[in-house]
Amino acid sequence: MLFLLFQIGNDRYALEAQQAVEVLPLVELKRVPQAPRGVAGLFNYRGRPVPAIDLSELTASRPARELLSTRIILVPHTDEAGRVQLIGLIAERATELLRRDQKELVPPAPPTSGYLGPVLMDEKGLVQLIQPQRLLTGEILRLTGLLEHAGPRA
Amino acid sequence: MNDESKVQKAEARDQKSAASAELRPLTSDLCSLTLDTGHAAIHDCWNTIGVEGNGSCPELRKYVHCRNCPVYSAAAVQLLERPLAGGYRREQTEHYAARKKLAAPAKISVIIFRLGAEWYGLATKVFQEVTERRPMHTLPHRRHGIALGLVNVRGELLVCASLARLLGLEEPESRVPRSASRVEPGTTNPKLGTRHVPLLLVAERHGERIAFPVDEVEQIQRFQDDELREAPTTVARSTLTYTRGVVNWRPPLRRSRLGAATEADAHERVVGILNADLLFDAMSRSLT
Repeated sequence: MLFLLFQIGNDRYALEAQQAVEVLPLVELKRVPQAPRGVAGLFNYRGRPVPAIDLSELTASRPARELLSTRIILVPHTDEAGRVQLIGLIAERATELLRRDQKELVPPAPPTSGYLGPVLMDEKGLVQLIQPQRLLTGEILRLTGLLEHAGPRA
Repeated sequence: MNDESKVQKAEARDQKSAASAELRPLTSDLCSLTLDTGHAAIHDCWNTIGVEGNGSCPELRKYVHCRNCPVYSAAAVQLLERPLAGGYRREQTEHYAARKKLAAPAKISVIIFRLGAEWYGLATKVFQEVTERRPMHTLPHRRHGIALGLVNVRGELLVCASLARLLGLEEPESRVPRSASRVEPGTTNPKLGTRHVPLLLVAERHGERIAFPVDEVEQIQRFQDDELREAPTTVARSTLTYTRGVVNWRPPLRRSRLGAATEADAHERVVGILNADLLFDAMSRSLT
């Protein structure tokens, strides 16, 4: 399995590379007024509006640094109605890939929240897998839902 | 490079090697990068003990070359820990806002070759071989058709036909002056300013193989259907018969020895795309 590595704060996380649609550089974002915490803004991806969620802001309460290594990972999100919407995750140091076997995944210790997954080890330490979709709170999802409805009318 | 900048470079190199007090024969551009990354300065061990230095690094036994070493790749990743350049975000925003251009699959693939002053394209799939010219065995009583003679291609005798005659570019009687006007192999064509070699193309259709000499073979080129335009009616009638259409084609920029783009390459050429089926039918008719 191939994993895309990134950092939140000083900790390393990964998501399955298969889940990523594309990794984009930092683009300009249109701020959304009164948006829930973690929503950095909207950007135009190939003609459709995509919300960008700042993972650092969301989990470490600090906006991602504006560096070349900070990138936007596009992942699909499927809502209850089965509609697929793209979401951009702003992640720091999204520059490396890691190949690991399924067997090398260690289940995490019991007290975990919904989005944290198994743990991997490499020479630099621990990497925790996350389910990025589960990071998204109801508010964010409403925002993305709204976008979808606003799309055809606008 | 002029002498002055050479001297400056040499001086810079001397200073560097004096500073590191290491044997440093050649520093590539990457290795001489010094960057303000906002982090610890990149330690360029590959320049001191690695392959660009004296090669004394013990890790080299394991990784053979610095580019396989994790220290080297970590340094490369560190280059990305830089603030965004001005205008970078704007530029990327515009890039990703635009709809993705998907390359339409090219429909027509042709080999482009030259006969005299004209450029033609013929479907790549009919060609079996592009080979050098070779001695031709002339056929008795075959002076006026399109057949030029027989050539030996890999031990097989093939009819060598003149496409130029079939297309009406050349009168059958004028075969002797033709060799005089032809540019000798490997010489520079004074008109085009490029080196080219007259070649022999071997084509096949329905098991029937035929060879025809051309003055120059350019390349294989793909075109879309909509790039194919009607041939202008000014084109000689016999050529028109065998032409599916014309395309504009810009030859790849070639540099002469002096480094300047040659004049002939600077503008688009019109290439007549030949209809392979009609051409083969006409050839077999004329040859039998």
